[in-house]
Amino acid sequence: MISTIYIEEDVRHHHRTQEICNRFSQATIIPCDRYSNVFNSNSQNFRLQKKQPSLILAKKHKGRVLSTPPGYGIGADNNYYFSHMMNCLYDCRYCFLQGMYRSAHYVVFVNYEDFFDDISSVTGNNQSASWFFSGYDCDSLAMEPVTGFIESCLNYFQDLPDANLEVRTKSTQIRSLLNRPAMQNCVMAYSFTTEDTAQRLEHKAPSVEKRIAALAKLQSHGWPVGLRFDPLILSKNFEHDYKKLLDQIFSSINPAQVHSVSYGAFRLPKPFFKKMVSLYPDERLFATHLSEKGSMISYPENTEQHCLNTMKTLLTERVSESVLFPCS
Amino acid sequence: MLNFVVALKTEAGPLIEHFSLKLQPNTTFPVFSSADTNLVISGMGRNQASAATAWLAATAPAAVWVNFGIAGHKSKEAGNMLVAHKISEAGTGKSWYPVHIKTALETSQLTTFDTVQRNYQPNTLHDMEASGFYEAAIRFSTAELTHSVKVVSDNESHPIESIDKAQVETLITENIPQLSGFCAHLCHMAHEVTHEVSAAKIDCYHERWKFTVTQQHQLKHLLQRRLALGIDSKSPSDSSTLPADLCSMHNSKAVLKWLLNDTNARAEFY
Repeated sequence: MISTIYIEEDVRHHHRTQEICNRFSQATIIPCDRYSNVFNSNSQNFRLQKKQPSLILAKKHKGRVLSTPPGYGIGADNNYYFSHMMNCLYDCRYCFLQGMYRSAHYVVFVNYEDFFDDISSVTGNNQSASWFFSGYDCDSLAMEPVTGFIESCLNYFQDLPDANLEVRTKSTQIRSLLNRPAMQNCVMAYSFTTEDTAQRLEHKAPSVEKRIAALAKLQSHGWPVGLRFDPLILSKNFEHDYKKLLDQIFSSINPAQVHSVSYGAFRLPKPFFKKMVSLYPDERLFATHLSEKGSMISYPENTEQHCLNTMKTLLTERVSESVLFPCS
Repeated sequence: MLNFVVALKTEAGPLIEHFSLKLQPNTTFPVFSSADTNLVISGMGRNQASAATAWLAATAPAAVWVNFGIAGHKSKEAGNMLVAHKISEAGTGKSWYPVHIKTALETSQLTTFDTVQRNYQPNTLHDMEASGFYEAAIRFSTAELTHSVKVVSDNESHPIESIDKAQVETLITENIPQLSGFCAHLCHMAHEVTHEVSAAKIDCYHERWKFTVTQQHQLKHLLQRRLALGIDSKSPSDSSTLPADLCSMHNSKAVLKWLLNDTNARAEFY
């Protein structure tokens, strides 16, 4: 899978660097001074690189735990996100990462403990419970067999009762989660679109069916589970398609024990959208009727409200409104 | 389109023959061309390589750029061909990282020096052009399609003074098939990222209406949207194939408005 590994000088002798490199013994190893020399260099083509991304092992020096954007959260006052990894194994065509980053290479910051120390520090500074969202710049679990990050993270969170973790994912790499007791301050949140949209847009990601199966196993094991319908993609039979999806999901899991459900219509920052169109000018999704709203590109107002209202109606037929969190 | 930047005529000879390139008349740098390939002979040194690259980019833009030639290496055997995964410039300390693409070619670090080196540093190719080439070429293409490929000609056992022109030609000729395969792979990749609304399709609008530069960009964007949505076919059109009510528009502004409204009306759903 990985044929090239760039290693930042700072982490050349880190034990995790050695462990990860041992998994890819055939890979070409290329030393670099700083990961940004490779990752942020000009004139890269995300689309071409996505066919065969390299791995970059580095150290995150600062900005490890950041406040979430306004409107991002599931009910708490103190919301943060962190990214131990940049870029995702999957290739979902609606994803903002392809518009944000110059490179499609996977960057893994191997200094996990520094992230955990920052999480601990932030938690200690807050009067009320804090939420930490994993999976903002990557899929939280997709590379777990290589990185072991979530395993390390959960070990830390089990001693932080005032810190809550959301593990957002589409992955079926849940073995380590089924091999340990469930933790009530950690929510396994699965992202979904409809089956048709998933087939057309969520390249390399596990099927909707497989995700539902993984979700069901996790819930049976006692993990709090969440559902994330973001982005909502408008199709000709939008209500029918999402009703079918929800029927599929709720025939496999207990709706009364769903921790939270968030949903939001397709939207992207304007510069990201522009770059994504230039990378994939033939992509139908980007050619549909979208509008500019301030600094964002999204469905026209009426269309967006229709999506959100329809989804809210479908969801409140199945779960309590108290667990619904619309996103903007 | 594939562009080669080569320092010396001796290095260029086997490529010119293999790719059937013809000398072009009256050019600032010697250029040999075919329908889809150009080769410029830059002369020695990174400044020459940089100048020749920029000049060729202005006169013959291309998606794929390859700097090719001989290089020294402390320990690699003569005749080995390698592609650079890191290019460093000894004189300034700058470095670049061409995107390492998976091919059969072995890779190596490459250091560009300002003079011929007789004391070989370990674990790096030694040349005099790559950094100048790469720093210029990357402005005109992408890191995935811009590479330095070198054939080892000299090492500690057989230094540069022991090499003659005939040997250089032989070393290069033996590697032509592999080089050709590498370039073909790059050109295939380039094809994936070259998507343009056909000039013919845009021209049929220019035949009827006058567009400002900004409007031309808007037109191109709308036509690309319509292609992506399957509204218009990919094959070139002439102005007689345009819808009648579009043809009745009096000016470019009205045309763009018509196209926008028509596209949005047919593009509500993914």
